[in-house]
Amino acid sequence: MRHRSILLIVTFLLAACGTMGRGLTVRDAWARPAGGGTNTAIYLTIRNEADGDELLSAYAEGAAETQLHRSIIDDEGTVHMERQSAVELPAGETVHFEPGGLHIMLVDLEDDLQEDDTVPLHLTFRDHEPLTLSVPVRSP
Amino acid sequence: MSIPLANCAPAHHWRGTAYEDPTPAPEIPLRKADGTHFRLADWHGQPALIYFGYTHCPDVCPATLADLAWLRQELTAEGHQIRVAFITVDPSRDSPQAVADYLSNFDDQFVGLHGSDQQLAVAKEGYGIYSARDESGDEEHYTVTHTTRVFLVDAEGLLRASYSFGTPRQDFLNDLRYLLGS
Repeated sequence: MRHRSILLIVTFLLAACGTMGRGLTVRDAWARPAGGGTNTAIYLTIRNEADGDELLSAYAEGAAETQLHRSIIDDEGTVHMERQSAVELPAGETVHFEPGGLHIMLVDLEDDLQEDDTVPLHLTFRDHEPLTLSVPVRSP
Repeated sequence: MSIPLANCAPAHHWRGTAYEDPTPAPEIPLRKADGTHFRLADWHGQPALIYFGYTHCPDVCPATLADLAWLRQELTAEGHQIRVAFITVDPSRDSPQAVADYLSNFDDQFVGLHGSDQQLAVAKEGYGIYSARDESGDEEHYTVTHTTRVFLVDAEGLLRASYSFGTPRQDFLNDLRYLLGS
């Protein structure tokens, strides 16, 4: 398991430089600004070059609760949200967390999240070692 | 015999879903954050965008409001003024001040509207809006299923088009520039 952890860290560092490695790569993470006491979301992309895995949970510091959610918009334009117990990360595929779809929901923020702030985010996977990243807050 | 120039102009290709026979936009019998009654008719003379959402919405509502804030900023830079109204579909949890505070994160010129369940029902019916609190969650933490469309009202108060979630910002801009004659 130890070597897998090192591989993940190296892969993540490479990804920060825009280079794809073999393993899990988390890229393009950002959080939307929001006021304290409200909710917001983190978006990111996970590329899985290894065997199939699952994102089991996310924990964002500064939020009372962090949940995995998917917004589903029907043909009438009505949106409802479904909480995800886990998010599948198929081998060789890229999973996008993006507005109107999968997102990491931050519930009841302790303080305002403003542009240029960062949010420490901890991700837990079924097979890979946990990953912590610093997510920038920005307005798209 | 002269032919009016307007007849020669190409028809506008709406990026949103256009109303073929525009009718007056339904009045919205709700209150602003300061407690005064809102009158859509007071906005005649400027195009307006109307959106129904709620402040605890983590994903679709802030994404839409960020788009509308960008749009208003772009048009303001071009010398135009548009109005934006946000109607909470979660009046039991969204106080008028909470709505105002929330909107100030996007654009301090956005107008938040609030009302009783009965008043909200009238506003929703006028625009064909569905909303319902989801059963999961407790009294403080729950999500609301709701219609995500944005409605465009022209300067004469006519309902001209509506837009689905995820409509590109440039598409909104294209239609508004048409209405503004630029």
